[in-house]
Amino acid sequence: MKTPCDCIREWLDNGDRPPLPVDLEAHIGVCPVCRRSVAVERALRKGLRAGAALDAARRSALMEKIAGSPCGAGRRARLARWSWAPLAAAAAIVLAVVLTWPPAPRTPILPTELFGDFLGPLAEISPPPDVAPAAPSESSTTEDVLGAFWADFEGPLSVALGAMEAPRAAARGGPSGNP
Amino acid sequence: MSEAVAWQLVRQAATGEPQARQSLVEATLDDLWALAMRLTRRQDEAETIVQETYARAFAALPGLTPGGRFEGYLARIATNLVLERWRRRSPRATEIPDGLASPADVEPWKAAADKEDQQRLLAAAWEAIQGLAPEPRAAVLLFYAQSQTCDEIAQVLDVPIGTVKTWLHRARNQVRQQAERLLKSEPAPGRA
Repeated sequence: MKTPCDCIREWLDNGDRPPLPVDLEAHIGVCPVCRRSVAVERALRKGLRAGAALDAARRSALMEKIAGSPCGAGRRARLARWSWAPLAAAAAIVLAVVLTWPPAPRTPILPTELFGDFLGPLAEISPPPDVAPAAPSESSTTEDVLGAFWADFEGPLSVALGAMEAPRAAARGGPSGNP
Repeated sequence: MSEAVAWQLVRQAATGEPQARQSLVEATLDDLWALAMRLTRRQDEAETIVQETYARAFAALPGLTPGGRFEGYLARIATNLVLERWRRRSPRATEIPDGLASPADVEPWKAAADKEDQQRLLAAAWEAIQGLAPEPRAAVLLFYAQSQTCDEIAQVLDVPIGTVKTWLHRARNQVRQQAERLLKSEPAPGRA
């Protein structure tokens, strides 16, 4: 059995805003809690609607502003100011890739160009250029093993190592050049 | 303005007729302003919302297919613009907003409290509403201030009607309780 207070609570929760039944109107006359709740609800319904009228001066000013921005021209202009941004970003990425992508080298790159002095200790232990590299099976020293390693590749690295070694050999008075 | 007349004007405005656009604005401006003011309670914000709403609506006119009320279409745009603004910023401390400092007379309320209490109640309710998440806030304002039904609110906010009912149930309770708490605990200065 619902009490009048329950019915008032249901009425307060009703999303369709039905009028308060007559018997409940009588109830709020004697129940201060329900009277306050109903009064607050009615105050909210009417009070939050208030103060939303558009006065004539503001209305005409607003009409002019709206007429002055045909089809959202201002907004489109704002967007247009930034419309180049994605294109510019894409162009920047493409440019960066093109500039930094390593092309196929036409001439061998010298290791000294790549590593600088880092190869110094390695060059120290590389075999003298005039000594023929021994077969790996016959190698017994570190120099022989490394010499065989470089000779196998015979690439730009061994050429460069030879070139790097040449001035040192000349300074020592020994033979220079590649074997 | 009837729906047929409104859509006739929309078709003409879509072809770039300034007079048709002007007529559409004339016919819908008051309602749109009222909606923007009730949602924001700030004249400057309402003005921005109204202008932006027309800008978006007119930009989309060529692709618009007739159906429903054009005013409803504008209301959806305006409500979504307000929601975007609310989502971008956290709820701010509420001073008495425009239009609530001098609310219209509320007869049922006058029987229970004086006008000062009424203003304080509305300010407290507004503060409670500002503390709600954007969507429930929009729902409760559309319910109270625009007198929209749950179904209409669901269409404007593009959510199921059950979601609107849940939001309204919680939000209305919260707002009412805060307002009632204020009335119970803080009598107006000068009153017993």
